[in-house]
Amino acid sequence: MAGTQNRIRAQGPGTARKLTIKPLKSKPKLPEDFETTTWKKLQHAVHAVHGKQPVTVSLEELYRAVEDMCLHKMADRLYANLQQECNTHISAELEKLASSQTIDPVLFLQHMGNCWHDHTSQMLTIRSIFLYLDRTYVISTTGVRSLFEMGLQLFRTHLASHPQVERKTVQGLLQLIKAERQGETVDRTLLKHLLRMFTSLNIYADGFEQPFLEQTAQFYAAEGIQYMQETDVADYLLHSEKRLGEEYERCQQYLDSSTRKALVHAVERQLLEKHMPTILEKGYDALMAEKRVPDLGRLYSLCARIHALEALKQSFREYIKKTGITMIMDEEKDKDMVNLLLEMKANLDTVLHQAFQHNEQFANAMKDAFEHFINQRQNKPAELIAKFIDAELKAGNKGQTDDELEVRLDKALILFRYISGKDVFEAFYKKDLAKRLLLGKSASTDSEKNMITKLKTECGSQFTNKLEGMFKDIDLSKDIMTSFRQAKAVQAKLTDGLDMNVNILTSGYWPTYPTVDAKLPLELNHYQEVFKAFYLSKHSGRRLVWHNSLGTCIVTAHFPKGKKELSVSLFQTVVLTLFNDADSLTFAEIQEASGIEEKELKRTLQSLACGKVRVLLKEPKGREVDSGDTFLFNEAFVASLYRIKINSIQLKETVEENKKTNDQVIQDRQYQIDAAIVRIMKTRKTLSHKLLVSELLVMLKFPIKASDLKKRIESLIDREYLERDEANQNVYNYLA
Amino acid sequence: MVEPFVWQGFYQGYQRYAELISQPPGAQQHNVREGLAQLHCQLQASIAGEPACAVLRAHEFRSQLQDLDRSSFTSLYRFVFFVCRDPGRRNLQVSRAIEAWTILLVGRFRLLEQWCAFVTQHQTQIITEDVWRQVLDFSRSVPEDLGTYDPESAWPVLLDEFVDSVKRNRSSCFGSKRRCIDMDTVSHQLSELTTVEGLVASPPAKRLRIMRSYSVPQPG
Repeated sequence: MAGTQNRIRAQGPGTARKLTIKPLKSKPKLPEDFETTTWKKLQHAVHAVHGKQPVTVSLEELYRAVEDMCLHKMADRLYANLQQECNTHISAELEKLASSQTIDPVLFLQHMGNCWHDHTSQMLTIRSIFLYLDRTYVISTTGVRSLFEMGLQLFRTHLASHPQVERKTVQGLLQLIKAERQGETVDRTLLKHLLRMFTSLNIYADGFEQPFLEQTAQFYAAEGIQYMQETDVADYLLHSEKRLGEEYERCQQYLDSSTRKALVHAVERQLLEKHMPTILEKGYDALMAEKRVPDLGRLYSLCARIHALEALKQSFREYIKKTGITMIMDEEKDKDMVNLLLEMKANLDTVLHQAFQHNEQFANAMKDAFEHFINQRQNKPAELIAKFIDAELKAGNKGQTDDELEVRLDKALILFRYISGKDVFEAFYKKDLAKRLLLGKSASTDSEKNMITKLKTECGSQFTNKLEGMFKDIDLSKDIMTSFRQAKAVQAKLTDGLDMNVNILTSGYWPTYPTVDAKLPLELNHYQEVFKAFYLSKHSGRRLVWHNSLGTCIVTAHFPKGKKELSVSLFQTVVLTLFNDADSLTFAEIQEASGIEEKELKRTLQSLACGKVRVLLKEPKGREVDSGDTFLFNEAFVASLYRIKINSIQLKETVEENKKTNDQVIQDRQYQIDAAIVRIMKTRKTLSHKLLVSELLVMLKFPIKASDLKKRIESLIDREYLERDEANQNVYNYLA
Repeated sequence: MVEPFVWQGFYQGYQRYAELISQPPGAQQHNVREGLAQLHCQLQASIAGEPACAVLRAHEFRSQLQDLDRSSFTSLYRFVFFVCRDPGRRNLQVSRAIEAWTILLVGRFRLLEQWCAFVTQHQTQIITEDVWRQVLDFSRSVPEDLGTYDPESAWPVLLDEFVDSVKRNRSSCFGSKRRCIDMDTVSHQLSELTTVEGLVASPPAKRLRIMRSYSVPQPG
């Protein structure tokens, strides 16, 4: 505060002085030699920088000097001079490099690296000194490069005039990279540094990249061929993947990022594209067979890189077809076929999901392949799948929970989906289901119905119609039996100690069974009569036929060593009751008394006298029953259990039965073909043979040969449903 | 000897048959079918079967066959099937069909012999009217080498199988007309070939090679 007051006082009134500023009398002149001296100073500094010596004058002074020169409009000359200086220096430097005797390219690279490093750092120092020039003159004048740019330009020009330097550098670089590829450790910083130089000098693409890619291609072409011969496919793939990773890293570490695409492509082309057909042809099946999921995953991703998934898919399909067909065609393995197929399917699914990334096209290829090979063998796979499901659903197949059962059924159903002859499956399934229902062999009704629902969603209600009808029959039969037992008037007619359960089967739903006659014991016969009368009184107009071959009985046997309950078939019962009145009977006598057909009787007797449980004895002993044999009641029979099952022969499928089911399917197919032909011809009236056949192949759902169709057409001609056209034997007319 | 009334029945029947089937197709179809049915009944009651076959065997019948033109032969050919069936049968037994073919198609069907042999061996018992008619078409339209035969077209299965068997026989012995290769001759020729080669080629070549290898370790 005090100070201020003082100043006011000092300026106060009194002696007021005027300050006048006058222009200079003479314009201050630059010294004559200003430009020369200043430039000398600067030149000296530049020389020091180039010579890597300390600059004697302070940098600030130098900066001022530049500024002064620029202000005095000497910028253009200054620029030219500086350029001249740099030119001389760079020229000399490169000359030195060019004439250097270093033969070792790597050592040469060191020199080159140093040279470049010096150049850049020197140019930076120079630029700092000449900053004013760079900022004013260069920016305001068009067609003049910034100082650093100018340095680069000079470097480039001189490098171009010494092609051997560039060539040597590139060679050295390539050699280093090759060495690195061969597993040696190299100076990556140097590489990076020099490659930056190429980029900075704008000669990367032409000067380095091209020879580099060529060398890469060469290197990997040779390596590909060598490795293909030396290693197995899995290792080769692993190696290729490693190589690709290395090249990626190389790009990150020292190559220019623009090279990446071309480089990776070159590697893919040499290592993968060229050898992929061989890889797939030679190694693919082995990889699949050994379930090498990681390797397959690698193969998949490598194939995806080179757009070879189509080929991989093809190999996948072919592999499935090939292995599938050998599996299907091997008749000795029929027993395990379904299990083997399921196992194969599971393995393929693992591969598909874990290695092939759930690729939908691959899933389709698998489906195609399955459909193809499973139908290569007619009928048998369908039959075996039906039997597989039968075994699963049968009682005694314990040790698995409902969920496990469900999973297995679902899997079998997947196989079923591939089958084109679904009618064969239906026929065998029906036959087996009938046995399960009638002989009470089903594990659980829920599972059974569950399976029917599955089939229904798969093939529609028409397919399961009859199967459902069978269940309905069983339910209805239970009701009928309840009312039969409650009807007192009827029960009065029956003898005590005998109970009977009757299943009433609607003939259309069930498989057809041959009626095998047998002379039943009187009590049973009586019982049947009573039931028949009862049933027909309730449902008049129906016809009741007894299928004795399907009947089962539980009989009590009094052996000297204890009382046993035997669970047997009706025929076995008939035979056994004969021994109520005799201890020994000949085959002929049994046949006479039982009235059972010879083949059936032999099977029955075999089960009683030659099986595990021998309630009868045979004379002479042996495993086969002959019509001259004699049978004795086994007085010494012992068994640990009280109730014994002997009726397993009914469950076993005989050869004739199998053949019959197959014949039935063929018969059904013929009717279907006939119906289809007539249906088509009825609408078309006139149709050529080829068109008719192609329409039939669309319409008919099962596999069929053209000759089968021809036979049916001929048969229809013979039966005068069709005629050949008089003018053209290839055309059929429909006869109304 | 063929009874005169059979001759008469046969010729009258044939004339009526030819007349019926040569009518233009269309509105008359119904009448034709009825007429054929009538004729069928009439022939069944008289000469059908064995008696008609006797006519075929007669020398007089055979000698006239040559002079028939294409369309009359067609109607005669069809009539033969019509009349040779045993009473009550729709089709012709194989033995009778073969006999009829050998009479009718001789000189008209180049594969006649093979065809008859094939049908005899085949398990079929009867020849249907369709097959009977198609055989004539086959003999007329398919050349002897079977080149133009198309198994995809509407030929009856029996003809498909015939063509198959003919082709199989031919491929197994290099054409039907040439004789089969005599394996002994061939093996003899082959054994001679190896001896010649053995004499000329191998020993001198070996000697030469050994000599050269001796001359190497002596540089000038």
